[in-house]
Amino acid sequence: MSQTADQDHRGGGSGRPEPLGAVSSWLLVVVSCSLLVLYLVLHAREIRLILAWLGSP
Amino acid sequence: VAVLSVILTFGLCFLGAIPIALLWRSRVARVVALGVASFGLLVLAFQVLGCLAAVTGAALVTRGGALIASGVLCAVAWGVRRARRPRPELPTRWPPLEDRTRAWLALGVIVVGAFLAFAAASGLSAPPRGWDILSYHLPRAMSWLLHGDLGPRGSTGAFYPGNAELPILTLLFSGSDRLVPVVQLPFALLAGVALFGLARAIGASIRSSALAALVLTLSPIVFFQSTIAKDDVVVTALVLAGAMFLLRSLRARAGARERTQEIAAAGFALGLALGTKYSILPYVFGSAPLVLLVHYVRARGGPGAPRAQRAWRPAAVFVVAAAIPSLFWFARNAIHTGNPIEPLPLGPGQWGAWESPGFELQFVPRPSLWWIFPWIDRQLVAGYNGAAGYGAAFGALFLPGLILCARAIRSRVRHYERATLLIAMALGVAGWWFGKFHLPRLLLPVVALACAPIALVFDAVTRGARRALIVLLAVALAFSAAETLRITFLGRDITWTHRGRVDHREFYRMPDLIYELPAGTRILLLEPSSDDLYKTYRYPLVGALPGNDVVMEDDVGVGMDLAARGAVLGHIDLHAHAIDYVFMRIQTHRPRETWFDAYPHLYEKVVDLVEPGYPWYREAYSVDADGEIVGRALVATQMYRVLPRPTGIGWEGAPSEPPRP
Repeated sequence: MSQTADQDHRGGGSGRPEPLGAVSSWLLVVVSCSLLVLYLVLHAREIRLILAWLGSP
Repeated sequence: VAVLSVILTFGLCFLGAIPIALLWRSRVARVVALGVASFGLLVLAFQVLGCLAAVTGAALVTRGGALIASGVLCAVAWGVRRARRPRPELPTRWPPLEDRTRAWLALGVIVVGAFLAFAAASGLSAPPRGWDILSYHLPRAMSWLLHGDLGPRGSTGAFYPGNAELPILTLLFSGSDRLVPVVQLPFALLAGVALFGLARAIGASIRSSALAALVLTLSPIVFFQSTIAKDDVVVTALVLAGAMFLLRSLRARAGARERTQEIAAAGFALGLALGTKYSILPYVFGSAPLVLLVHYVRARGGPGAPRAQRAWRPAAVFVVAAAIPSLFWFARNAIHTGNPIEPLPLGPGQWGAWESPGFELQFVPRPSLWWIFPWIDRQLVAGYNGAAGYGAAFGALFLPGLILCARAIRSRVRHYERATLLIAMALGVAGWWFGKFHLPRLLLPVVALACAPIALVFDAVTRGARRALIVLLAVALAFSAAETLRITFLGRDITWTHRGRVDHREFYRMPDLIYELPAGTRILLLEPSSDDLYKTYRYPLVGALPGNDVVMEDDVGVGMDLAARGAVLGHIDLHAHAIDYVFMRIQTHRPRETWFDAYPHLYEKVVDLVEPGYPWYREAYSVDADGEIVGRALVATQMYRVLPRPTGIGWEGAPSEPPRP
C-alpha cells in the first residue's frame, strides 16, 4: 500500500499535534473566549436587533 | 425535453467523473474528486464547443451541443478507466468508523444540511438578484445561449473568465432561471467536504476536522452566497480542493503514480478556479512556485533522480493541469484584445495605474484597518450579506489554529503539510492586498484555508478544555445563525419576503412590452447617468426566456453620444448594429424629455413611465444628504423603437421635400 493510502487509512491520528498541557490548553480557551467576546462586543448592535426580533410578537 | 436535457448534461458529467474519482482510495478524496471532476467535465465540454464555435462560426454552445460534448467526455472517462483495469492495489473496504465518530459526522451533516436547505428555500424565493448577477453573470450566460458561442459581450464583465457561468448556462437550457440563484449550493457542500479533507491532510482527527468544516459551511457569507449566483463559493471550494490534493501529494512517494495524480488534481482544481475569477490569479501564480519549493524541500535525501529533477516534474504537472480548464478564457481575450487578462493591466509597468477602488471602506473605518475584518465581519451599513460575514466562530478560533499550526511545524509532525498551508495562506493574503480590490469576499478562499488549522486546536487541548471549546463553538455558531435568520426574515435583503410568489414582471418592474417581444429582439441598454445601477437592468431586459438580445454601448460602439453625432448618423449606427429598441432608465421624480423625442420620424416612443423602481435593491431608495433613507426612489423609464430609415431624409434629421409622384 502506498504512503498516500496509508495516510488515508491511518486517519489523522498519526499526525495529531503534540498535546498541550492543562495550563496551555486552558490558556488557549481563554484566548478563544476573549476573541469571541471581542467579536460580540463589536456586534452589540446585532445582538440588540436579535433580542428585539426574538422578543417581538 | 428541455428539462430532461439539462438533467442529462449534468448527469453525464457526474457519470464521467465517477471513474476519475475511483482513482482515489480515501473516501473524502473520492468525494472531492467527484465534485471537481464533474464540474471540470462540464467546463471542458463547453470550452471545446466554444473553440469549435469560434473556428466554425456556428452556434454550437447549445443544448444539443452540451449534451453531445458531455456524453463524449463521459465515454472517454469510462474508456480510460476500463483500459486501466485490473487494479489489484485498490482496497475493497475501508476500516469502519467508531460509533461515536459516526454519530458526530451524522450530526454535522444534519446541521449543515438543514442550514443549506434553508439557504436553498431562501434562494429560490425570488428571481435572480444582485448587482453582479444581473449586470454580468447572468447576461453573459444569456448572450452565449442566444449566440451559441462563448464570446465576450457587454460593457461590464465581458472579458472575465467564465467557468462559473457555465452551470448557469446549462440551467438556462431548461427555459427557466428558477434554479439559478442556488447554483453555488453544491459548491458550498463541496467546500465543506474539501475543508474536512484538508484538515485531515494536516493531521487532524475525523471529529475535529468535522468541527472545522462547520466553521466555514455555517458562516453567514456561505449562506448568503448560496442564495445568489455569484462565484465566491465556487472558487473557495476549488481552492480548498486544490490545497487538499496538494498537501496529499506531499505524503506520496516521489515518482509514484499517486503523487502525479494528487498534483494533477491540485492543478486542475486551481485551474478551474482561475478560469472562474481573476481574483484567483495571485493564488495560482503563487502556488506554482510553492509546489516547486515544497517538493524540492520534500525531495531531500530521497533515492533516485536528482533532487531538482524530482521537484520540477510535479511543478510542471501542476502548471499543465491548471492550464487545461483555464487557458480557454485567456486565449479568447488575447485573440480579441491582445491582452489575456483584459480589462486588467497587462504589464508590471501599468500596475501602478491600477488604483484601489476603496471597497474596504464599506467594511472598516480606514483602509489600514483591513486586518480587523474577522472581528467586524460585516458591511458597516448593510450588515451580513453575500459580501461579508465570516462568522463569530472563525473570529474566535482561527488565530489559535494558526498558532498551533505553526507550533506543530517545529515539532516536525506533518510539518511539510502545515508549513505549506501557512505559506499558501500568506501568499493568498499578499495577493489579495496587491490585487487592490480589497473586498472581504475575495479573501474567502484564504479564510477557508485558515479554518483547517482550527481542527488542530480541538485535537491538541485536554479533554476539559476541548469541551469548553465545543461550547464556545456552539455559542459562536448560534449567534451567526441567529443573525443570518434575522436578516433573512426581517431585513431588506428580501430573500425570504416573497416565498416564491413573485414573478419576473413584479420583481424587476420592467415594461410589459419587454415580455412581448419576439426572442432575439436587440435592445440597446443606454447609460443615461454615471450611476452604475443602470447595469442591473441588463438581465431583466431579457424578459421571458429565451429572451431578448440585450447589448450595451461597448458592443455596438454607440451610446449616449448618439446625440452628439446627430440624429441621422446615430440612427444609421443603430441600424448598422440591427438595434430594434433603445432603453434608458434613471432615478428621477418627474417625467423627462430626451433628444430622441425631437425625432419622432426616427424613434417611436413606446414606453414613458415614472414609477417606483426595484423594491429590493439598496440603490432603489432615495437618500438625503446625510445618507439616510427617505423613501423609495422613483425611476423614469423610456424606451424607443428604432424606426426604419425613411427615404429622402436630410443630413440634420429634418425631412427633406417628399419625393414627387
